[in-house]
Amino acid sequence: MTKSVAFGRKLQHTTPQDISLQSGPPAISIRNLGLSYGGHKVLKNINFEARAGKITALVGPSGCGKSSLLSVVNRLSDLQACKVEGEVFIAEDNILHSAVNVLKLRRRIGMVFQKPSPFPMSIRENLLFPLREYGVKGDQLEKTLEDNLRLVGLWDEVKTRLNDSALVLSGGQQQRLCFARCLSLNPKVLLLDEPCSALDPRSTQIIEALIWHLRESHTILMVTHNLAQARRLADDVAVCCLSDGVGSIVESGKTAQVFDFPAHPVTAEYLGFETAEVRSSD
Amino acid sequence: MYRHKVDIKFVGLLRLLVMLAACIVLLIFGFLLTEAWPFLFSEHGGQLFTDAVWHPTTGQYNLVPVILGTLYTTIGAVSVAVPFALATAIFCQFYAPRWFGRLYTSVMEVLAGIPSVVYGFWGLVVLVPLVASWQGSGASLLTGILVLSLMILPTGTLLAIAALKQVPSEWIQGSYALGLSRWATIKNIALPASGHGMLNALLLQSTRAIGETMAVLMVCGNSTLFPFGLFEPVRTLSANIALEMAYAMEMHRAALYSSALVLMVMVFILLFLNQFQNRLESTANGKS
Ligand SMILES: Nc1ncnc2c1ncn2[C@@H]1O[C@H](COP(=O)(O)OP(=O)(O)OP(=O)(O)O)[C@@H](O)[C@H]1O
Ligand SMILES: [Mg+2]
Repeated sequence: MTKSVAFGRKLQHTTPQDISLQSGPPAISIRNLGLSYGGHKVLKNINFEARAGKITALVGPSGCGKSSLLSVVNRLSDLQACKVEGEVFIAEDNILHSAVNVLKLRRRIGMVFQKPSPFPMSIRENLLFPLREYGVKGDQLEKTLEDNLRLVGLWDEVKTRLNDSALVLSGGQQQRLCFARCLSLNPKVLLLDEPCSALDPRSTQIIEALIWHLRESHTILMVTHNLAQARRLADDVAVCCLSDGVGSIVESGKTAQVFDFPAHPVTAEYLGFETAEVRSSD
Repeated sequence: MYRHKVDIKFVGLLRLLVMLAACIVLLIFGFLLTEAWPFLFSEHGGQLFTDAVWHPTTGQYNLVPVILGTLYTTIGAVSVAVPFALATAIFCQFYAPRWFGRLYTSVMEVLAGIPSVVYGFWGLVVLVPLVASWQGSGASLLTGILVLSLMILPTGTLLAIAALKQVPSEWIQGSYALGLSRWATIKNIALPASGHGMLNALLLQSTRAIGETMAVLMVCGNSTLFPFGLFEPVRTLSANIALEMAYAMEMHRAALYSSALVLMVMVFILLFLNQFQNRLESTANGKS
């Protein structure tokens, strides 16, 4: 109940700087993407689409390059010594083109890292300083702070100690704080790298509900090791697997299709375990 | 906690070495104190601050101009070097291509290894005539400040770069991922997170500047008069000792040891400040 109230509020307070939200989320289309770290090939022949306003889950074994793939979409890969080839289209633009304004690109794309990374400052400042850099001022700041902390179910836990260092929060709290920080900036695309990895079942529920509610207004690309979660949330699934030490997407499509009728034996093997588990627990 | 036997022996050895090092410092301090004693704790002691000038041959020992000379050169050199070190460190770490940063670091490492007498010689041959063509004799406070700042710049820059490198990359990446500009990231994350290391660098280089002797001696003019302007010659404590120790006798000698004590106290104050801010930092971290 309280959740939907919070979401309602989130949708109401669209201010002029939120207008970009209303132009609708873009689709992401990845074509022939390859990535290597200093000659060591990590990804090759990546082809799939994350549909606009849908949740696409990216699943696959550890080390197959899922996080690396996400980092290409917001060009965070620029910071690494890695070589990227192929094309990534967001709406109509190939964002790997060197003329792309990376700052603007990243402002349309929110990212929650696998490893929570709150900044070494107070909980309040963690959210407020990026907002200020975006030009948000005055009362709007505090309001956005509270709204977004409520969204991720963190407000009641931290409202009395907003001025404490964010680094003393527990892993799960940090993860939600980072989620709130990312949402406060109103991105249209969300890259979520195992957003529930450090969360207890209750918080996981809140975050899953949140992701579900964000679906229409955001294009969401989510990495998860929790196949049951992928099944619950995702519209589409892309399965990433390692072959000869290089990751590639072996199968992608509608969630039900991929889970129930995997076309590829590798997918069947990877999903089989979890599917059996889910069935038995149902 | 369970301690292995080897551990205990190793810790014992470490303790011994630490005590030895501490003893050496104490011995130096004690030596200075005994040598300075006849001057410092006699009726002469007050002369350090009340005499008209520093003129040992006539028994006048005013150390104030020399202390001021030391302070002026040090503060001047640090204020010139800090903006350059900070700016280049930020540039190398955040704006320059990777290869440039690496190249620049190695150049700085080479510069940091050049003996001070070479800097002094360069100052004498190049800088002194240059300043002289502008104003004064050339051997002046300004020249000293310039040479000294050039000397502490390499290590200062290296330490600043190291401090920036220590900022966890998750914070930097996290900031970029939010769509924040480089400058916003530097200002809000990199600088505050590395402030402690920066301050450390500043204090260490200040101690170096205070103690520097040869280069300063070669370009400063070494007048013991009160320094009134940038273009006037000054003498620093360390230069004073180096210049006069060879022929100093009796009271003069003890007076020089007193000035060495003053120098040592100044260095100790800086080191203490450094310790103090380290302490502050660690308690702040413990709390947060
Ligand atoms: N910055 C980097 N430099 C060099 N190699 C890297 C770097 N980041 C990742 N790799 C390598 O790329 C491969 C893929 O890593 P990545 O983090 O993308 O995997 P992942 O699918 O996200 O794994 P997990 O599910 O465990 O998070 C790994 O072999 C890793 O060692
Ligand atoms: Mg990962």
